[in-house]
Formats: sequence, C-alpha cells, structure tokens
Amino acid sequence: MKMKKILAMALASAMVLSLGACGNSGSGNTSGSDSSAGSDGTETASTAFAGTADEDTYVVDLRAEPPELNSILTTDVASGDILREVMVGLYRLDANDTPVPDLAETTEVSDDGCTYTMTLRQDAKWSNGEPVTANDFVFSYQTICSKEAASSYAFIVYDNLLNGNEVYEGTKDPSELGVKALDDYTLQVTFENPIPYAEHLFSFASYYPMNQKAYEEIGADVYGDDADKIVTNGPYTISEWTHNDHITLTQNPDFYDPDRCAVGTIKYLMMNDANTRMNAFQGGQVDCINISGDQITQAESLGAKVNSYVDNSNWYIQFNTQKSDKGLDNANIRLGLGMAIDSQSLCDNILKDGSVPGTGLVPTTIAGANGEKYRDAAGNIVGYDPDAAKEAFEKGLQETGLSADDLKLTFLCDDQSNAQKTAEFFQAQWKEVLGIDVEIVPQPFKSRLASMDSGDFDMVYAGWSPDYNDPMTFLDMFTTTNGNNYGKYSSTQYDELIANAMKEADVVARQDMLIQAETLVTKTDAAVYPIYFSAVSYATSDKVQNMTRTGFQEFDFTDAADSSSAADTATEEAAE
Amino acid sequence: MANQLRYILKRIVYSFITILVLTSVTFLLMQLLPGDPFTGGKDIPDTVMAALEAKYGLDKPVPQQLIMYIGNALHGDFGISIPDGRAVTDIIKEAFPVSFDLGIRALLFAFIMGILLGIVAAVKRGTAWDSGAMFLALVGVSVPSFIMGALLQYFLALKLGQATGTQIFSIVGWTDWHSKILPAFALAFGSMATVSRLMRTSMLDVLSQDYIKTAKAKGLSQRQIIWRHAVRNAIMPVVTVMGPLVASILTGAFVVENIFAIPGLGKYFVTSVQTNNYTLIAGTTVFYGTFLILANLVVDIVYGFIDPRIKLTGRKE
Repeated sequence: MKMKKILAMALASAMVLSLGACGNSGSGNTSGSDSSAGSDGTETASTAFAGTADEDTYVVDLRAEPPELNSILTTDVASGDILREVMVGLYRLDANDTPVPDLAETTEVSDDGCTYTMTLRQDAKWSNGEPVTANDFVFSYQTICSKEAASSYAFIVYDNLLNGNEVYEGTKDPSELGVKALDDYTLQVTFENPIPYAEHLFSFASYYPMNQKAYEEIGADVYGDDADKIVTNGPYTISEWTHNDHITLTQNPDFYDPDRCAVGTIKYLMMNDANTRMNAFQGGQVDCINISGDQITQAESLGAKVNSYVDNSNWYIQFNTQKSDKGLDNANIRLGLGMAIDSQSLCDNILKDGSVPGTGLVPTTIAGANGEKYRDAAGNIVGYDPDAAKEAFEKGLQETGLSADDLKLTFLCDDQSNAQKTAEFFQAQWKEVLGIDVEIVPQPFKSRLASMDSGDFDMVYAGWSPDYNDPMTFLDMFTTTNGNNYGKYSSTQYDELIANAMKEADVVARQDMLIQAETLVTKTDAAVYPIYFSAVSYATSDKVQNMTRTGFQEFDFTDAADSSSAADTATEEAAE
Repeated sequence: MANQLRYILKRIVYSFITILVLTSVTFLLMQLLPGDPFTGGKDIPDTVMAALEAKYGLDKPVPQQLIMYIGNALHGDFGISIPDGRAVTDIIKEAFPVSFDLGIRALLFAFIMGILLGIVAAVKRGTAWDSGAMFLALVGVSVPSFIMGALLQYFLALKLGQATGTQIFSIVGWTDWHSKILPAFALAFGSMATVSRLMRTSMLDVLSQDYIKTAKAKGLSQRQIIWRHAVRNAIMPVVTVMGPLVASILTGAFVVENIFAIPGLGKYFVTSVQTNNYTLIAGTTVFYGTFLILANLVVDIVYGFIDPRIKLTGRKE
C-alpha cells in the first residue's frame, strides 16, 4: 500500500515536470530571460536578446565540421563559409551576391568574351609572408586540372578553361591551360566559351589562388586539415580549430582592407542537434543558429531576430521516363502528376520555414540578363491546378491505354522526417486529385542516389543546389548525356537549346533560349516537375551586425565596408 | 599461475584472430553499401571518378584492397578519411580520448551509484528506500539516454542557469567540470539502473544465506556483515555485466555526444556509415572492436582477482 502511494506520487510529479517542459517555451521564458539579463549584468537590460557576452566576438553555429579547407579539393557549403572569411580571390560577392573586384584591380575582357586580362593588387600577402601573385592562380588552376589532385570539383575549372579537358586527360601539357601569368601581377584567363557568369566563378573557392611553396611544404594530402596546415590571404585567419567542436577566426592584421571585417573574432560552433542549438541559443552561448519551421515562434517569443533567405536550392519530382509500363513515358500523365501538387500549401503548412513554391526549375535568387533576376524574366511556368491536372492525367491514360489502377506508382525519397512528411503530403494530393494510390519508398541518402543512378525508381524527390549563379546550372543537367539526368529524359530540341545557349554571347538571346528550355522540360514535356525553392530560417541575437546570409554565401562577415556603410553608420551615430 | 598466464596468452591470440575476422567482414560488408563515398547528390564525371578511385585505391579488386588494408593497419596506418582527407588514426587519436573520458565517468558513476542503490534497496528491503531506489531504476531502464540528456540539458543547464544566473552546468561542450557532469550522468543513467537492480537481487540472495545468519549469530555488527561478507559475495554478477555495459556505454555515447555537442568519436562512427566513408568505417569499427575485446579480457582477469576460486584456465573442473 505504502509503496503504491509513493510510486503514484513519483509518477504524478514526473508528469507535472514534463507538462512544465511543454508549456515553457511560451510564457515562462520571458521571465527567464529577464532574470538572466539582470544577473549577467554585462548587457543592458533593454536589449531583447543579448546573446554571448564578448562584444568583439560573434559565436555562430555552423552545424557541422567543415570537411575540406583545401580550396583545390573543397566542394561543400560549410568549408566554403570558412574559406570565404580567410581567403580572397579575383572577385568576391557583396551582400547581394553581386561579384565585385577584389584581388583583380582592373579587368579587361576580349571582344569574343572569352579572355579576361586582370592586373592584381600588389599589397596582398599570404600568411607565410609571401606576396599573392599571378603565379598563385596559375599553380592553383593547373593543380585542380590534374588527375593526381583528384578534386571532385575539377570539372568546374576544366570544363570552362581553354584546353581544360585535354589537360585533365593528359593529352595537352598543363602550360597550355587557359591561364597565364603575363607578369607577377598580370593574370590572363581564357575560357573555352564566353561565360556570362565568369566574375561569379572568380569568386568561388575552386578559383582561389594557392601558394605553391606552402602547398608543397605542408603536403597536398594534409593541406587544410588543421589550423597550422593552411596558408591564407584573407581578412581573417584561423586561430584555433578543435575538430568537430569549434573553429575560431580572428582578424588578420596584415590584410589590405581591414574595414571589411564585421567583428574581431568569429567563433563557429558545430552543433548537430536542432534542440541543442535552441537551448544553447536561449542560454546565451551562441549568437546565430539555423532554426526549423517549427522553432520560428519559439525563437520569436525569446525576442530574437528571425530571418530567412531562399538558399538557391530547388526541389522537384523527377520522373523515370523509361517506365512505359507505368505510363511515365507519357508527358500528359507526368504533367497531371505534377500539377496535382499544391506546393503553396506544402510551404505554408508543412515546411513553414520561408520556402516558396517552385514556379520553375530556377530559383528566384539566380541572376539573369542585364542585372535582372532570371525568374522575373521567365515568370511562372508551372503551378498547382487540380482541374488541369485531372484533365491531363485522363488524357494521358487514354493515350497510353492504361487504367489508373494499372499504374501502381512508387515515390522514392530520403528517409529524413521532413522528406517523408512531404512525400505523405504528395501521396494525399495524388489520392485526392487524381484518385490514385502511390507507394512511398524512403531510403537513406546514399541509397537513394544509388537507386537513381541505376534507374530503379518511378518518381523521385530530388533537389539541386547551384554550382554558379546562372540558370544554366539548373538546366544543363537534363540534356540527354548528362550524368544527372536520372529520369533519362531525351529531347533533341532541349539538347539543341542548351548547346546553343552555351555558345551564345548575347545575354538576352541566351536567356530566351534558357527560358524556352525550362518551359520545355517542366511543362511541355514535364520530365521534371518543380515543387519549391527551399529557404533557410535563422535566429540572431541583437549584437550581430553586418552578417551576410544569402544563397551563395551561407555566412559572410566580410561585407562590413560596403553593404553596411550607409545604413549602419547611421544607426551607430544615432546610438552614440 | 602458469596456467593462468597460458590462458591469458591464449585469449590474446583468440582476440587477435577475432579482430582480423572483424576487419575482413567489415571491409567486405561496407563494399555492399549502396552508393559510393564520393557522390554527394551530383553526378561526378567518369574521368574525375576514376581519378578519385585511383587516389583511394578503390580501383583495385576488393580482396587486394583488403590485403593492403590489413598490411597497412598492422603498421598503424588506417588510411585517409575520404571527405576531409585526415588520417583515420589522427581522428581516433583526437576524438577517442574525449569519448573515453566521458565513458569512464559514466561507467564509474553507473557502478558506484548503481551498487550503492542496490545495497540500500536490499538492506532496507520493503521500505521507502527500497521503492525509491527501484523507482529510479525503473525510470533508468525505461528512459533512453537521448531523452534523459535532453531533459537534463533543458532543466539543469538552461533553466537552472537562467533561474540562478550562474551556469552550474554548461549547455554544450566538453571543457571543464561544468560541462562534464550532465553528459556523464545522462550516459550512465540506464547502466546505473541495470547495476542497481542486479545488485539488489544479488544482495537479497546473499543476505538470506546461512553464513550471514552465522555472522549475525556471532554478533558481528550490521556494517561488518554487509560490507565484509555480503557485498563482496554479491558483487560478482555485477562484475560479469561490466563487459556488456562498457559496450553499451561506448555505443550509446553517440547520442549523448550529439545532444551536448561533444567532439567525441561516436559521431564519426555513425556518420561514416551514412556517408560511405570506407576508411573511417573500417578504422572506427576495428578500433571499437579491439577496445571491446580488450575490455572483456580485462573483466575476465579482474574476475579472478575478486574471487580467487575462479581459475582462469577456461576448463570446468
């Protein structure tokens, strides 16, 4: 009897505790943050969300370890974030993702749009004391275009530079590659075709210079593995790196443009778990974290600033056009399946993170001709239309002679909870609009890739992030021979449009071709059906200023000199 | 003694063979994982893929790769982790001490607290002490470490910190004692529960033995009876589960490391499989395997010291 009583009491108190945990995020927190602000005493009580204590340090969550800081080998976003702060290239991106000259003082472009001759600034130095010269670029580009380096991003250089493919294959000497040092401070880069986004390429990590002496002394195998195994030339230097824990960048006193730095020290943490991040943020141990759609209201209730940006990725349904037994060789059936999806509802009710419906393949943020955004020029190509979806689907069934019950379609997606939730949403829509049952096949990421590669799928939920700021990176992947064309879509018209656009020097004519191609692949042929452009939401504490977060710059703290000059000096003056 | 030594030697040889088999099986199984270590959502041109495979020796037949791998491993070279280019031995050297630190703290915590709780529950059988201890054990067995970790982090690190204005327990990291208590406790809680339940049962069994009655009749004090006669006999089953517990603490560490953002080896162990990072899969598996085999060996040897009646000859007499 006595034991039962105690057990009941203990259980009851456990329940009360857990209730408290649930209810706390809303009202309880205001008092919590008040008391912490008061007792910390470092920040003024008026700030809504103070963040970390040290005024000249931003603590930012990078979520994961940057795997590769060797600019010749790097491919991932996190490494790009670090390199952007510690390295400078010919160009850099400003806060609006527009390339502006950095090491390149003057740039002359030849009439055919293929050759760039640049004079370099002479006051840039490597952290080993050597000057940054044109030879550092020649060494970098020749190295990345060699099989020995085994860079998985090599094609972004060798596909573009003159003789790149031949040099990579070893049929031409590296000296014939389209990069020359005319003298120590004059660099000439020659492309195979005119590239409208060349300046953008020059701001990418694969196009950074590399100090040959340091690279050879440290050794290609271990270069960039630790703080003392990398030589940098940028606004910040890596002062500390504990793998999988944090990486600290401090301002480089020798850098030629110190005004660029937003803060003296940036400490990137690597927290893998979303709840952990939120707890650390609430506890004032980090100034900026990414948040999920479900965490937005919680962050706002803390008084933190919440923002989001379209991260340049698209998500789409790719149809396996080879599956004629399931009707997927028929454009009308594919179009019907695509148009049945209410992507606005998906963004509003399931994703909730600022993602926007995909009105085409190319996201809203990608640059177009003459300073416009491509998406504005191309307009809305596809979208939700249940009636038209039904009509197209029925028509397709008639054309193929299949009945809806014969299809037994499967839908391949990642086994992450978000992807599965989205897949279930699609499943419900297909049932509701078209009256068909679709089976969801969730697989781990690498397995999904393998299944796509072997053509072992009906429909797959896939996404793409751009390699450069141009619609081409979203469109050339569906040409007949492209390795990313997992649905085996094949259209001579499409292939010709893309091939012609690649050679076209007139930017407006080129853009028209790309718009035609995009319409062809998503609407006319519906080989892929765009669903949404994904967004990243993040919360920041009050002290973070001059942080750039865009699709091409997940983090950038080196835009203080330009982006902020007008707005933020005004607020600073007002504060004083 | 000579027998004992021979037995230990034999066990070491067996252990070595086990590790060799483990290495080979891991190596062959991981090649069956769908996909490759290099592709990350984008197709890699064939020429680049060939260059990558050549760099990591994946262009050779699998048996040849295995022989090369074992040969290199015997020289202490476990290869290069594929996405980050760091030596696998460097990764283990850097991350394992953190996991080990966490694991040892958790293990000590689990054993000391578990044994004490078990003793109290057995001695005060049927009282509130007993039910309290066993309730704790019930919670420990049923609440997984990722929930325990998250609760501790939320209430004791975040909320307590905000309420008192001083951060007694850190929310994340692995630096000073502030940051080490909660993760160790979260990791230890389940094992502590197992130990305390085992200890209680075993103690109750021992306490009802005739020799305890004899001790009582001889007029020994309660303290002497419990500590000298009961505990020493009751602790044997607990020592037996030490091997499996080390295993569960080591493998469970991943979850706790994840919650408290601790830079341990657990994360590498798990993510290497998700990313088809062959060298790191093989390296961490072989390393953990070796560690567990050694831990079991040590437990067997310790067994002999605690109870001299057990001869380490491996033969039943």
